[in-house]
Amino acid sequence: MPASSAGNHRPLSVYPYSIERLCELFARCAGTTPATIDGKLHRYYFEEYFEHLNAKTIVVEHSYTDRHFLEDYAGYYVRCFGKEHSKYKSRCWRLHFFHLTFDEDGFRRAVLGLPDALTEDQLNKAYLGFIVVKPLPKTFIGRTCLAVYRDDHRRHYPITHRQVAHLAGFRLKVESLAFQEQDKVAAACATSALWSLFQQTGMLFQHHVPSPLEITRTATQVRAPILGRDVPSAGLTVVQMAAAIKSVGLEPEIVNVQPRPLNEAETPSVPSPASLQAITYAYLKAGIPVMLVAALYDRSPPAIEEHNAPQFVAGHAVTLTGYRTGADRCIPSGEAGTLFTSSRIDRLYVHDDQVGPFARLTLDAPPLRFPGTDKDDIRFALGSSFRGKDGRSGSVVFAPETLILPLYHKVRIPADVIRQQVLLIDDGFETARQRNPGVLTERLEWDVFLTTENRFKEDLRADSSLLPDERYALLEEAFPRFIWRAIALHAGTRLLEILFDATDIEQGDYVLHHIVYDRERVNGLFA
Amino acid sequence: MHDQSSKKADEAIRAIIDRSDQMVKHGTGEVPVSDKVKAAVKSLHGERQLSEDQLNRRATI
Repeated sequence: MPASSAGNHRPLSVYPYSIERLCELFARCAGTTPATIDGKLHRYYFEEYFEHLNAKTIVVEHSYTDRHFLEDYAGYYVRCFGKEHSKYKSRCWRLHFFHLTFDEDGFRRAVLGLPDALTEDQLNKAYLGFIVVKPLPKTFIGRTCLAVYRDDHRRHYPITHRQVAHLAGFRLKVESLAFQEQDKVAAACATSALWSLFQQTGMLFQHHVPSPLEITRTATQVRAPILGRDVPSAGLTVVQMAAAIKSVGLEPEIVNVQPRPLNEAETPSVPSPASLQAITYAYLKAGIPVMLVAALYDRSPPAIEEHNAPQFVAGHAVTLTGYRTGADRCIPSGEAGTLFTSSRIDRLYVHDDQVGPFARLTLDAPPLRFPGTDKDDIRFALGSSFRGKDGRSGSVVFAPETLILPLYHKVRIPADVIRQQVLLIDDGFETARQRNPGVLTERLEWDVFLTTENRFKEDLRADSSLLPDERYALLEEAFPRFIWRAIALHAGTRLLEILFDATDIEQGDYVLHHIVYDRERVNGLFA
Repeated sequence: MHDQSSKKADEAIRAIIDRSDQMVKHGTGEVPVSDKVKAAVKSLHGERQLSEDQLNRRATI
């Protein structure tokens, strides 16, 4: 038995992984009870997640200094009087996970580089990431960087970057995005979501990554209609979240993704559910994370029985970190019938501080109906892991309302302008296709997303379908730093592409180029 | 080098793009485009219209 189990910690301990062991480690570090842990959604989420990742071993650092917790500690917890035995501590534990079986002796041999021991390369290949456990009684899940599910070509996690963890002289690497749960003091859900979002934008756009307490203090400089304390945090409004984004030097772009009420006639000024898919896809593909603000409704039978309708639970904010393009076919966009690749999205992955990192939101929840009230029905909702009054996972759903995009100031042309343009361009191509029905057997599918000059050129360089002279001419040309790409696909292969200058102004001449990939078909279309 | 049919195709694509450009910047009112496409284009305008309730939504959970 490791010395730590007896309460006399050595700095490092090694354990075989099991969910029971993980909960025991949480309880010991946080000084909390198993019942508290069993009452958290995270416990069930980690159980499923580590089972999927096939975790075998946990290495525990018993005295770990986490910068962001230290800042929250110095800003708040250190001034709590506390009883002597329960004073808040400044040091955390850090748990590292591997899908490789080894014991304490095996780890020691690896650290010392003894013959036949595990190598740094073997440990890195088996590394699944880490969880920092904060010494707080209930809200103890600190900075967490876990590996994503292995790619099956439908799941996409573009909002990840390399995280390096130093452990006993090893440099362990994992592609992830940092997550932590709210502590209900320095942070509520919106602060935690912003903190995760800033981990990515800080790396992309080189800005300071503030701690949760800094985020809450900055955001609450904008007064909300309901006055209250800044800390402990009672949550942030959309306006306050936007203020926090401005404070790091980025421009917050706010998009309405509230679905049209079911009982409302077709009105042109209200966005359809496709907006959520299109915006998520367009910006996540550029590596830019997106905040989703939603209203949560409990649709469990006890809630419906009590209120005769789904019961409003609370507003909630999460960071969108990935998506699954699980649908075999695109869903035509309204009556125009334009096909966007984004409509293949059937799941979103989010950093949800109440559930865990890369948690699922499904796009298949049925509409919310409020019979006998003056509230409009809600056309679609997102399925979640939240538990309602019946205690069952999934009985609480998300009604999406707003997306907040943290943009570099040079990204000026918004997605809706490009999608309008593509709708009209598609109309022109569809007219040509119907005039020459033998050339294109099916309607074009439009893959529309933001990118950078560098990423565009990397992709172009790898695409041998263009003639060498045309490819070289594009590769040697100077482009703006940010570009919108609209790639027209026919039967899954590139037919042509239109490039837009994302740094221009809406009144400007922002169409940069059109590129023809399949010259024979395109010439045939306009013959 | 582009042959004649490539040149013709490129001109047709350019015309489609120019037409869409004009419609996005000056509205679809005067341009011959179906009502369905006009409605689809207009529906996207709503993405930038937010209610006070949306802006003041407090994420608390």
